[in-house]
Amino acid sequence: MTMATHEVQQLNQAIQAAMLAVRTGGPLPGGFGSQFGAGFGKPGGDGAWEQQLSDLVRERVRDAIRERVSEAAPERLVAHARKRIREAVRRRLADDIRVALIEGQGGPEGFDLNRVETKLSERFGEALHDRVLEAIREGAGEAIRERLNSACREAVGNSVVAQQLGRDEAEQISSKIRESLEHELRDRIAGAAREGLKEEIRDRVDKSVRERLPEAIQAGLSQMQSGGGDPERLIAVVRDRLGDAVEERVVEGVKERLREAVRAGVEKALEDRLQTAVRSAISERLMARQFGAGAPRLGPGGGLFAGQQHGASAVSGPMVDSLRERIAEGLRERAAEDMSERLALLIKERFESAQRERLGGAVRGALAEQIALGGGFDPDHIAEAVRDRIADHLCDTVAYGVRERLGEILREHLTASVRNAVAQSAMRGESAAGSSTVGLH
Amino acid sequence: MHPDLIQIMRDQVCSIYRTVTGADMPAVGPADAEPAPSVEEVTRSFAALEALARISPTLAERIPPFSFTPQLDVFLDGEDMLIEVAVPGVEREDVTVECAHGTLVISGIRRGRRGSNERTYSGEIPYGPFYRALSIPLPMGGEPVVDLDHGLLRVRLKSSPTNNQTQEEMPSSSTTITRALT
Repeated sequence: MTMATHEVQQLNQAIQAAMLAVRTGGPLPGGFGSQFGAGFGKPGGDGAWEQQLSDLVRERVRDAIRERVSEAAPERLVAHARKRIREAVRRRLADDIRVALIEGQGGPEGFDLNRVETKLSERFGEALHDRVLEAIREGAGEAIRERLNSACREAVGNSVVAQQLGRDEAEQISSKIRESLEHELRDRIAGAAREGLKEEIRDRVDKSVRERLPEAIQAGLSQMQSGGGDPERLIAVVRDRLGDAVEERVVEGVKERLREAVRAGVEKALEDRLQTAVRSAISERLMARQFGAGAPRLGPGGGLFAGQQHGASAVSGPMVDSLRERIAEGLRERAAEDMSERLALLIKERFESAQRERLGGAVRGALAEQIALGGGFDPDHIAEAVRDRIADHLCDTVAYGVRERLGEILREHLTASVRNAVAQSAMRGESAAGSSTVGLH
Repeated sequence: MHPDLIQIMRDQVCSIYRTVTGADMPAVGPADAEPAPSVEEVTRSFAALEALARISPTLAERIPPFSFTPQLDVFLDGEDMLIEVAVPGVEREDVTVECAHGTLVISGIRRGRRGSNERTYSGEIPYGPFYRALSIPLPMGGEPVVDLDHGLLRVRLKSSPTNNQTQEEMPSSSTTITRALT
């Protein structure tokens, strides 16, 4: 072995040792690696540094989101829910009381108060549950966005990432993490609320109705008698006496349960998504720095790596464009058609099922209401009564179904389109062209 | 192969290691039975290490840039052409000046704090190999007269109307290390 070969070999060994040290953060205290905190300097293979960065950031983000989002979101969501509950009391309670009173007269022993209470609390409880969920679904994004943003920014900004990669990179990483988590958090919170609030709302409505309805009907009847026997006066009095009590109780129940539901939803979202969100945000930025952005300081005209940085940057642009085009093309070709077919089928199924389950009851209820109120068969009134009984249910069931099916279809097609696009790029040698720019020529 | 350049690259590797770990590079054992990597492979690994180390700004600011293209001024002094090149801390024997086919090539090595075990807290001045090629716009003749004074390399080229020169393509800066190694 010549002297030069021996030296080259020694240089190579030194490079490998330094490479390992850079990737793992360094094995000894007092060096750069010690800035990562205890335990950071464990030796590892490729990607160990990135993994350890991700682990540290993930824990910080987790704590910050637990603290900020779980604490703040319920208050905002309760405010949204309260508005919807009030609206439902104003718009719907009177109709439900009317229908329940009619149905209560159809018992074997004449008017059955218990039946009225049961029917009213079932129907109105379900309506309130739907309204509250709607409010949570619509308000969750807004309720978590601001807190999620500040939680991610502070968690990443005060972490080792900001120390090692700089403020700008930390900002970009935190914004990527936030984007990845927002939808998941919103969906999980809505899901947890759907499960957690159903019984609570029904119980609260039921208790309020059973406590207040007898006295409200008494008061209503005396008002009706003194007002010339107008049944609408009875209904108005019952609604007024019942409305506030129901609203207060349900809001109180939502407040109690929502905190727990939000916490469960946040935990579920963090468990399922946080690791991937943090890891991919950090990987993406590290790759971006390595292949173009964040050029090292060099002398005028660039130095050893100047050509390499420009070359990689120049190639990664077309690569990204080409992948983007292929993915978009795949989605256009396959997803659009499949989506419209599957959604049409789903909507048809949901309509048929709603028709089977609800339409008969709605028509019967509307006719019974007409008979009880007198005045003959008014087609407009009947149509309105039927519509009121099934429209909300139909809307909710179709909306839920479409949302779930859409997510399913998009996930399938996105995965397939991305996989095909990447495979095509690899076959055409685009990725090889990208990697060939890394290194010295 | 230029053994000094290998040593300078090794110094840079040790400097990165020291900056990362706070400790000196452990003594490298005797070469193992595996075949020695080629110079090109080692240079690639070195480039990869540099790129990896510079991902972190904290590290990057402590590791001086390796290899550079020196700045220069060109003057016409009567019939002569005078080129001044900024090469601070470079010894005369580490600089090579060649003029051929209408191109003046200035190359060399700036040695760092060789073998130093000091820890670097800020490294901005580049070191290692440097390379600069300059197309000469006028016909010049004779050997270039070279003088190095206070970090400024002065190259004087004499006019020669009979010298018929051809232009050569300017080499890219990324070939600096390869040229210096050969």
